[in-house]
Amino acid sequence: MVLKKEEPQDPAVAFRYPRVITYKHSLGYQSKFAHALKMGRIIATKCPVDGRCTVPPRIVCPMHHVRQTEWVDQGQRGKLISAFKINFPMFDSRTGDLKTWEYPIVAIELEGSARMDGWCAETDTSKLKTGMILEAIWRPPEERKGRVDDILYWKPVE
Amino acid sequence: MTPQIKKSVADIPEEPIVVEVQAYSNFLVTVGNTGNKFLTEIRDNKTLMGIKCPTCKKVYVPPRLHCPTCFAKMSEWVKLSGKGTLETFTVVRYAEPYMPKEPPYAYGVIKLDGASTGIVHLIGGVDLNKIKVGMKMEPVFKEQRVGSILDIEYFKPV
Repeated sequence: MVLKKEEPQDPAVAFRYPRVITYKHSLGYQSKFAHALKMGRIIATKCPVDGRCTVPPRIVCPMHHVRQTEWVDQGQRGKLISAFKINFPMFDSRTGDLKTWEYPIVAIELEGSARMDGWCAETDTSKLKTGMILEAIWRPPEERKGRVDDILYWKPVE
Repeated sequence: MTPQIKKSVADIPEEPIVVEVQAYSNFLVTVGNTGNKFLTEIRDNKTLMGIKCPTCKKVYVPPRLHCPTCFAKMSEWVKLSGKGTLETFTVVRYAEPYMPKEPPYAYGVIKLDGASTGIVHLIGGVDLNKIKVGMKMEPVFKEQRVGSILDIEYFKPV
């Protein structure tokens, strides 16, 4: 929920400094990951040394510094590693608005062993237990953009 | 957790993707007590004020609360004539986002008489090809002023 408060209107006291920066960048190696997200799938690259998968995918393993080019599907479910909830108003870095945060953020280990985080649909943190199974809830296919937020949130599996 | 059957990733395209991203910021900047006095003097009295360090006697424009040289707290205000000498300048000939005006235009550092520092501002009222370092300058104020540094429309040669 966005919290609105009165702002001074006198520029000799305070002023707004709105800026929009448009930039383009090539996804390169991660283009396959973006295509998979549009298809409603999560894929990751797998380290040839220990078999761990990385999401978002990386072409070089961050632990062993070896090239990892094997792609592995991560499924649609994962188990909860940890969760936290912000219980005080905090600024949304995307909009600059001060808002309250109803939904917890969860870290999940996917079926293919990669770990990622996301929002959780369960607002009562007492119901979240490590090891519980969550599944990805996606945007409708026509709204997906090939970004990690194509996964709207994670929902506990009954 | 029952593992899902691993799907092949061969059907996922690898076509490179270039994304266009917009980053927004809308910061609220408070000018503080020192900045407030500086801007209200420009707005209400068309006067430029400096602030003097009690220790090293430097006069700063724009004013600040603590001397950057010796860190003394400053509170002695100095009324300046607004006139000064052009120390350096540049002529902008191409457009970029968030410029103060359409190019070509010039801006420079003007060392105000009685001040130890220069103030950066637009230069106008002169042929851009005839601007020279060392020119004596004076401010041109807008008719409608709001308490912004841009209440000074530009500095022009005396």
